[in-house]
Amino acid sequence: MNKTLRYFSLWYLQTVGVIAAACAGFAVGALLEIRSSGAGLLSTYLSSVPIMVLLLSLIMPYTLSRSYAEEALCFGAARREIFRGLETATLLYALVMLAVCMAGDWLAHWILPPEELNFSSQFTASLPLLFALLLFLCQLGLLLGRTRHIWYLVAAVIAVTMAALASLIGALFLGYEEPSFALVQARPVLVAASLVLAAGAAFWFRAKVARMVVQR
Amino acid sequence: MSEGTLKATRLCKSYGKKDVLRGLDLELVPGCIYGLIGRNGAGKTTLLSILTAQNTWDEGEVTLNGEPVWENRHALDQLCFARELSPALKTGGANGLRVKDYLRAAAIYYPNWDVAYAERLLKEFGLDRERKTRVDKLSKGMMSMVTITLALASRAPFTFLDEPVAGLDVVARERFYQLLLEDYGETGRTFVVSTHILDETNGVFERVVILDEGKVLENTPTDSLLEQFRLVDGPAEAVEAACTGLKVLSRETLGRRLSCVVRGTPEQLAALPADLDAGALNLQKVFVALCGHGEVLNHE
Amino acid sequence: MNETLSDQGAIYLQIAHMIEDDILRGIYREEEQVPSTNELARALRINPATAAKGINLLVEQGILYKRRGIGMFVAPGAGQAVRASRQAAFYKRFVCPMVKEAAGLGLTVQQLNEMVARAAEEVKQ
Repeated sequence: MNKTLRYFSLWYLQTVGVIAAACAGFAVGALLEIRSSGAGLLSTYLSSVPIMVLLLSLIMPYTLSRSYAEEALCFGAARREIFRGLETATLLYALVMLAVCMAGDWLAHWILPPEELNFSSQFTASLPLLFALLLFLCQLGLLLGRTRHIWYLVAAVIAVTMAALASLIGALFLGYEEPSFALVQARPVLVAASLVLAAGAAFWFRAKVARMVVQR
Repeated sequence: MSEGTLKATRLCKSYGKKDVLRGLDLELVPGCIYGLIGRNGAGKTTLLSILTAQNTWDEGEVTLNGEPVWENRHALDQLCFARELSPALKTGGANGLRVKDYLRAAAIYYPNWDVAYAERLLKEFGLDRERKTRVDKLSKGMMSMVTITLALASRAPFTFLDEPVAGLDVVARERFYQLLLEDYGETGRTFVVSTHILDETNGVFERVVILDEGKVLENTPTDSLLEQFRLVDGPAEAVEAACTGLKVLSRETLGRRLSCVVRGTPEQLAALPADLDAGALNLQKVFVALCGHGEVLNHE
Repeated sequence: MNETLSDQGAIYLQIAHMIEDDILRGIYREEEQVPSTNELARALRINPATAAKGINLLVEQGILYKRRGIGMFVAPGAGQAVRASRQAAFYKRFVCPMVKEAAGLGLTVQQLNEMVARAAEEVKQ
């Protein structure tokens, strides 16, 4: 098995475990809260689990990859291998986060009364995954690349993140505003198109970063 | 156990406007303990990190057994760079790990990792109790010991140690040299030890590489280097006469007395008059004679 | 062989010198085994390659010889050989500087000879 993946698995599981435990804690807390006094703070947290997971998917991979990539390098791993290990670890992490997200959403639907549910359903999509993947790869390029094209990378990070965000927001809006009939019909297509665009951008960017990472 | 020569050709590396390595050529033959010495800022750490492909470089190439080292899994598996750990060095990478995790990571990455040996070293260094402590929270001496444990237990054919004895007391330093020699005796691995502290490395380094101003000044067997230097001391005229034909590296006068560090072939030095020949120099003095020019404080 | 090595000058020469001293002092007699390279290296805390260099120098000079699979031994006639080479070096190492020093102090050759004779007497006692 890829060494970096083994290395990451030592710690990612811990991280994922902590987050999952936190969500479970919110669920239990919300349950107790509702039983006793009605919906309150903990219920709000529970219903926002997807949002929190999304945020964590931005910050966590960045922080983890930043130090782990450098550590792996110090232990003599090839950059290509670190890169691949990071990719796989990110995907797995994102998938698990997605599962946590959906579980949180399901729990929220089960425990909380309908009026307490907010955007949670909207977020339960593959968006955390895309975000995590994109930002991860971008940060990796910045860390390991030590390339002369650092400004290119920074610009690309911003551009791709903006594009993904734009498509996200676009998809959201189309779900929330009082849509015209045409828009309602178009919505699935638009959402799919934006996701495809974001995925395409991610893959293109990945190819660029991969090449840069292994160049001197 | 080692295979092939590690070779750097015309290496150039600059950080911004500062040239650290300027067309450096180096050849490291396997099965030898090398001492890498140079002033602060001479480029020792940069050189070591480039040789192990952990850092990029601007020009030149690094090969192991003829194959480039960069991104070469086969070559990287034979190299180990035990960096100097310190709480200040954020780029040390592994500083946030606990000791036991640090060693678990090492076990994953180094194909020749010897778990039993690592355990023995931990116990010997008294780090057994500190397994759960974060590396950057250890004392300076203990950090050095972790570095040493990593380097020795990696059993890598080419092992590089960056300032392994910084922070160790005299007793611990002696123990390090013993352990190094024991390991070398068993495995015949290649070690490259970069160090400032020269006066007790007596006989440990078979070969010495002196780095000065971004280039390799010397790459010779230690004994051969020491045989080329002498201190000549006595009345000024007599000393000057005796030094003709020899390279004079430093001069110190005290009244009519002149002290010179000279360099020549063993035959030339044997011809020095016995009353002026003040004896051979140690490695530290030779190093100062060769590299003691320039500013007192070099930049890091 | 408990002398510590000096950090000045080539170590391998010191090793060779040390073994020669021990042969002269009778610590190693002819046809006796001397410590192996690894034993020397361990005892003196030096690189085995350096220890080997010192021993090989003595082998080249015919002071030691190697018995395959067993180790290094003092060659027959080694004691004589060491004594002879030390005697040859004695003039340059000790006598010349002594004469020069005496001349520098204004001592005559006669005074010098008297001192040598006196010292020889003291050593005898």
